Amino acid sequence: MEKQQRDIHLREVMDLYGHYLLRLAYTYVKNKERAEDIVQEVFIRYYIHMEQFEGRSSVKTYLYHMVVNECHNYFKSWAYRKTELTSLFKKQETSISVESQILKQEEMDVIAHSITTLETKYREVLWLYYYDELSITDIASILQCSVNTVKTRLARGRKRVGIQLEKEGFYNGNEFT
Amino acid sequence: MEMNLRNRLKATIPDQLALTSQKKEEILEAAHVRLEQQQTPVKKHMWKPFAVGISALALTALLSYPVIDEIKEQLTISQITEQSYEEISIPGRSADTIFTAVFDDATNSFYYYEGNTVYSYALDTRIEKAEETSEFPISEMLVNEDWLVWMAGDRNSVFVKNRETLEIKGFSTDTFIDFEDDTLLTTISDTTTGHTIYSLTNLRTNEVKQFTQAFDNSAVSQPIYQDNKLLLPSAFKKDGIETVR
Repeated sequence: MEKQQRDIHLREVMDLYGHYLLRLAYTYVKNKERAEDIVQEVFIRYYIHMEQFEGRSSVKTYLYHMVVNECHNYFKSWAYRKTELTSLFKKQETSISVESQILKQEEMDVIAHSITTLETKYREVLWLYYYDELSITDIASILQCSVNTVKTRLARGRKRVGIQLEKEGFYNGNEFT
Repeated sequence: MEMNLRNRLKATIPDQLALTSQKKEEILEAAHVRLEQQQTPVKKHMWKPFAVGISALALTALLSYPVIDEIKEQLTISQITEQSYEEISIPGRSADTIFTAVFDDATNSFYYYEGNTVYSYALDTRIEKAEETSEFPISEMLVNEDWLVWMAGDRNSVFVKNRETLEIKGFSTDTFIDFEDDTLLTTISDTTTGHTIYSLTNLRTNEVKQFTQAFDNSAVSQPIYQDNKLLLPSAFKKDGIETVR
């Protein structure tokens, strides 16, 4: 494939999916620069291996799968552990001010908090299903698990967000839409 | 109280988070560089093999005279070693799958995993067998004479199968690192205390020994468990110089 064609195609793909992939990566790593690095690496790999995807309809699924994999790999790395520790120290240093801030922030979005503290395996399916509006089959393909596993995780994820909110007094047991 | 979960999910990330045009150009630029690197052929110095060959011959001639018997002996050993090599190909499996293969002396088989299944491939019969199927994709696997250990891709679930009784035990852990004989080394990151907890579990008696290590800059490498000893590398500063012990 000619370089010019590659460039045009990559631009199209970045315009189509870049925004969603960046947000997906951010839900895992919670850091803009790190999320950008992950998305950049995925697009570069796609650019290099573009010929393999000609005529395929699954480019979107492939890109999502790559981002999810990169994020999972990042969590396994020592770099992540070090980052996590640094954040922990920062939290300890400022714990008093953070606590008082939290108490004052009555308008804080408890629901958003309950989602971000969900286990990754539940959060990722909720994100892919509700935010990216992907089908259960696509999610199963991205996460390389069965359709039933995705359904189970969706149900448990919804339930866990509900339970958390119930504890906080924000939720009366109805299903999310 | 019904809520729109999509909007709530959206609220968990910053509004301004977007792949900017500038970033897209940076990605394109980086992609050009990477593609060029991959396409650039490695320079072949045609004269190198000849030079190496001539040097080797000269060196052999120089050394062979006084120690000819020793060289003869070494050549014999080398021949025996070469004869013991056997090329094995496992039909229908990709290089990525073969990369996970572990050789099991006890059954003269290769163990490897793909997707949700651990397979074995017996060298005697050349038959592949599905050994275990997991609910989640398998991410790691090890095998020895007595145990088969595998980890499901979603973490938190390590399974150990007793190959004699076929009993399967599940462990709740972040990951498993190694095992030797009957001892499994697993690790959990405790973010509340900032420590990594290493657990050595005796798979027969279920006895657990735990060791903790702060996962700050001391975390320099994976620990090793060998000969009943656990090696936990850590970094410290001595006279202002970072050292590993």
